[in-house]
Amino acid sequence: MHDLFWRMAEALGEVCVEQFNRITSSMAALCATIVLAIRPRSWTPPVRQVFARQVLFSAVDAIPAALRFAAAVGILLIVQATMWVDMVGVASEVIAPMLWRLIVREIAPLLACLVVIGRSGIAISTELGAMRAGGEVEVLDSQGIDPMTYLVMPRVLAVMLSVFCLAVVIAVTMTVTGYVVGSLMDAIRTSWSGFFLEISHNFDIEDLVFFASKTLIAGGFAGVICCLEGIGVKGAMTDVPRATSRAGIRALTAVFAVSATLSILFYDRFLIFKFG
Amino acid sequence: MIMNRQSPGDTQSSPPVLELDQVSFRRRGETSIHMDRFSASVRAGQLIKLGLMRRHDPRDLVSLLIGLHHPHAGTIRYRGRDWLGLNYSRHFRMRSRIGRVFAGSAWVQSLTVRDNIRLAMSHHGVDKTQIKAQLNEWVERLSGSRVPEVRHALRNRPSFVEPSVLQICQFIRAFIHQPKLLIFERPLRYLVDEAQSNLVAAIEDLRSGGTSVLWFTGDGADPEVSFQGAVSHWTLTNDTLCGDDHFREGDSHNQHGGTIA
Repeated sequence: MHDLFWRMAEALGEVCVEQFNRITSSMAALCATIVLAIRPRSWTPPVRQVFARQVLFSAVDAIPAALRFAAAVGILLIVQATMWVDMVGVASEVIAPMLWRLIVREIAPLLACLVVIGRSGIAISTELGAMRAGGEVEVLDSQGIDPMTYLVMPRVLAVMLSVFCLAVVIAVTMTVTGYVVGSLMDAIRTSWSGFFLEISHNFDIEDLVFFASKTLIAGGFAGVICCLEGIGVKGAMTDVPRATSRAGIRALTAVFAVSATLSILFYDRFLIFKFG
Repeated sequence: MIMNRQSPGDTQSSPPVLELDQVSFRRRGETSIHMDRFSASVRAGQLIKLGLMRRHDPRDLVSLLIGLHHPHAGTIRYRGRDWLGLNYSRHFRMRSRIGRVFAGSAWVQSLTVRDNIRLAMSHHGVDKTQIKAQLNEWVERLSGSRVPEVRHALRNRPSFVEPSVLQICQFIRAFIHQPKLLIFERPLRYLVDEAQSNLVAAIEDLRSGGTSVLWFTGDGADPEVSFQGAVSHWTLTNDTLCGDDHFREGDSHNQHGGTIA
């Protein structure tokens, strides 16, 4: 019994150490990416090309998907909001600020991360995994090209930028969809300008800071995890699918964890309890 | 094959480009080449041949020489500087002047052959027009009668290019950046006879300018070429490049451990 306890403790300890190592290596890679990005000499023409292509793929090409998801979630939100307004008995003017805060603070950044991870994060880890297994990373290294500068840094930055831009697109789409559906359902009885004015009154600088930091940090973690999982593939091409699925799950976990942590840190609240 | 077997005395006084001091290295793969306290130096303008068995894959060994793997013991210095420490920028700069022709996977598959060739130069800050001029020059020089095929290949991705043309493109990539050290892994495998004389002439030219050459060749299965300049040899014993202790019985080996033919 005593022996079993220590074996369980050892296994638990190993899991904890492994998780800690994974988190610290992701944070280290994110810091290295930022350090590389602020050095002008890192931005050679090939690196700029990789960055531009990744932004095109992760942000521009993802706009139609982001619009579809945002419209659908916007409708879901307004339906739920109307139900709760009727049930609780508050005025419909409460909907606009409530919707806006919910969208800007939580839903738009999360949805943007999901779109980018599902569309680009998995593709990045597949591409880098195939490059590593096929010896292409060694080819780059042999020519004096730093894989961190050429492969990882532009992709992570592109993912961060894409999450931020798509979150803006998603927030605007959800708000517009919410207004249109809400008006049709007679849940919102103000004009568009009134609705917009209501939103702008409820928009403070704190929300902007929170929105930017949440999208950039969560996007950064998602990008780094997908890149590291891909480039960490050892052995044959058959290891790539496993690494890819692992990358997706770990990136999603990181995004939710970062979102929750930032929400607690920024708004000093956890559910209905206030700290301090 | 007729090989000039004169002693490489004309390169003995030139500075060492690559120095190996008591290097031990072992990989698990059955095709790998190992090192056991191997010491040698490759001087400017020197050409060293290492004869391989058909099963050997020199990739790991070459990666060791250019600092991508670390030896278990000993030191490797390239142009007087080792591959140790955390100053990776220095390592990448050092590697930028090494031309490598791979035996296996040699290309970034998502780029065209032209972009592959230009990638390293562009990354290391060489001007676009200079790259273009150099590329044209080397295409003309190495392709012989196959210039149109090579030019066409430059526009395609590597997986769509015929291997003998792709091999010429590998040589162009290795030569284009005025390398101080050239490393060839089974270079003649896909090369048609016609292109060999162009290759040899280009190598001789670079050697006269101070470029060192390491030539990993086959056991007779690969074709052979003759060089005008002196050629030194490293010899494998049981898949291993061994130090002086293992060569006491050998008939001729240089002071650094590698044998000279």
